[in-house]
Amino acid sequence: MKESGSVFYLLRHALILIFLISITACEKEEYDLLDRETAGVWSRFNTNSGLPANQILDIQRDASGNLWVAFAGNGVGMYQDGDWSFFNTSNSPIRSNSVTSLASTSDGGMIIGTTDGVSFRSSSGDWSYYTDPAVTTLSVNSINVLSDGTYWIGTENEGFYVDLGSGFFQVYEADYKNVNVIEEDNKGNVFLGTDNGLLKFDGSEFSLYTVSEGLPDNDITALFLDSKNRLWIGTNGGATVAYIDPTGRINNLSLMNGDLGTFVTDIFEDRRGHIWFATWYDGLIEYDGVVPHSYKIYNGFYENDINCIGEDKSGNMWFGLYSKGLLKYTLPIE
Amino acid sequence: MRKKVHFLLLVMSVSFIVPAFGQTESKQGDKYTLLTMPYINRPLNTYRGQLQVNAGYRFAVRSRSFDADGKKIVLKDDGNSSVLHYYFTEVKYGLTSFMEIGGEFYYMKRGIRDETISYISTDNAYTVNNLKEYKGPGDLFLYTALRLPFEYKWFDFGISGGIFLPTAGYKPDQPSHSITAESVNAYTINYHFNNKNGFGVPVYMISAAAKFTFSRLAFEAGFSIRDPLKEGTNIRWDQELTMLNTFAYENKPYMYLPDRTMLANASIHYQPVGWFNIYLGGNYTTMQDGWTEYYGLKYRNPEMHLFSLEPGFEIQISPTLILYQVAGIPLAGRNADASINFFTSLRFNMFLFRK
Repeated sequence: MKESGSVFYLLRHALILIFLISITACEKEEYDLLDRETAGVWSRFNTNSGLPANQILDIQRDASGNLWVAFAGNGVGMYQDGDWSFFNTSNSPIRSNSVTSLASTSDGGMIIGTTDGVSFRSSSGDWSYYTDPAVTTLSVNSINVLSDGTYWIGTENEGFYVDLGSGFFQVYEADYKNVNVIEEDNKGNVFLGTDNGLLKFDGSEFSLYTVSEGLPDNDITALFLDSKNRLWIGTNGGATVAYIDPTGRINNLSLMNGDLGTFVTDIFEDRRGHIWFATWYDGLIEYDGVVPHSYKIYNGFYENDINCIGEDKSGNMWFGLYSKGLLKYTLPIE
Repeated sequence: MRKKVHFLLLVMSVSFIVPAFGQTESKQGDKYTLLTMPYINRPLNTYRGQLQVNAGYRFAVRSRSFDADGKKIVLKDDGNSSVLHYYFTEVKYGLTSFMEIGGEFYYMKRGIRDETISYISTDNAYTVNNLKEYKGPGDLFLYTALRLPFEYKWFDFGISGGIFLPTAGYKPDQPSHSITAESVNAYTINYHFNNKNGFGVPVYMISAAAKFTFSRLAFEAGFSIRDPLKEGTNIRWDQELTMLNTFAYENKPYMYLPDRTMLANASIHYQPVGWFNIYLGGNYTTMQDGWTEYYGLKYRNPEMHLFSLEPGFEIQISPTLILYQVAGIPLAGRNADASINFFTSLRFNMFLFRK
């Protein structure tokens, strides 16, 4: 009886201990949860839903999380918590309504490239601009703010401009006068996509990548550095897309779109690590790391001409179409 | 709500532990009588000193499922039906005739196959098969159960509380995808995800049951709640096909909270002879309030409901051995497998100290 009594004693205390541990270990918080039905959904915004134009040329998120959209011939719009604010020449000092490209600064400002110079809007709403007095019309193709805070502007026919902190200066080389896109890799190298190859600036000198080095085409139209430090390269006319891996090797990837030449207009990576390619004529292509998936009119997509890709602060993907407005895509869940 | 449940758990645990030791045990029959007691005359718990070891096997063919609207989907039409193998073992011991302790453990294997998808272009063709396999042991469940402190005549009531300890290695192993070349630029990709079982966090369960005997009939009803104690972290594997046609893998962590599960069941039993009992049960299960993180966003898990009919029987094979057989027939549900399943269990009973 004594033995069974001690067993009971131990058991009683063990059980009490287990339950007390269970209760004190309770660590659950209340969250605002999303419904699964909202995942994997496409939504379209166009002039019928209040946008000033259906042709979207660039999408960029600022440091505060607002989404900026360039509308062809109609200025820019800022999408903030479900509301739009539009800026054009009639209600702001923006240089031109023909906005071509956008770039955000680390202090919450936005750089707005137009076909007539560059406008700057600070986070407090102050405007300024830059245009080269030596150039009749400074038509901007692309802008990038590098990790060191310097501004790089690629132009149509005028090479590129760099502001290292003391004002812009021009870098012009006739063979590379059209700078379509600018990207920085994780080592601080700057890549400039031109009509005649990919220029790499390592801080002291330039080198050139062309089809001879393995690029699918010399007309570089899109660059993107993904989370694995691969620099993706899209071209106008290449049969594939390419990427420079961290070892410096150039790899080519078929987009499985069946075309001998693809015009890639933008490249972006979503939060899952999938790489998205916006194209003209071949719609949208999502590469999940294994197989490229095609979104075209023939399989029910909105349009075959996609201009640009962006992402909002919640991880939703935004796609700017050539003529049918703006698409929002909430990532699917398995 | 969760705090109330925790408080209830605390009160229940203390209240049933402390008085249990003060009970005076009623006179029990001899060992043979107790071991051969027909179901309708058995209490909810084991007798004092009784050791019961259950070993069971559940087999289910996942050929149908209920969608979010309750519509039954025929999975085999899409070529993605599968089977489930569930091995179960349980040990119970009667500390007194009113207090039982026990532990459960299972091993489960199932594969969920998606519909084969083909991607074809002029330069490449891929056929993609997707198999999500779940294989491995589940969490260890330890519990204590109490019943009314008097000998069973025609009515019994019991409560129990326990905890699933996160003993299973719940994080999925690295996938084992493969790719085979069917012809020039035509490939078959076989995704094979190696998932495991287990909650990954402690989950408690409290339950109550009642039994009522009338002549050769017995009615039994029960209710239980299973709720996780905290959020967990798991990993999700991503894959990439390299230029060498091999797969490279990378995992990313995500947070989750297992669902709260509520289960209610009721059954009617008929005992035509002492060694044979036949019964018909109904079982309702609902799972909700859990969430899973995807890419930094937390999504509510789909609410699951399932109502099943469960006919079954038990046969006393020998004084120490009982065969138990039940079939689960899903009748209605939402976001649930609608698999007809069969569960066979052998129950070995013995008294360690009783002559």
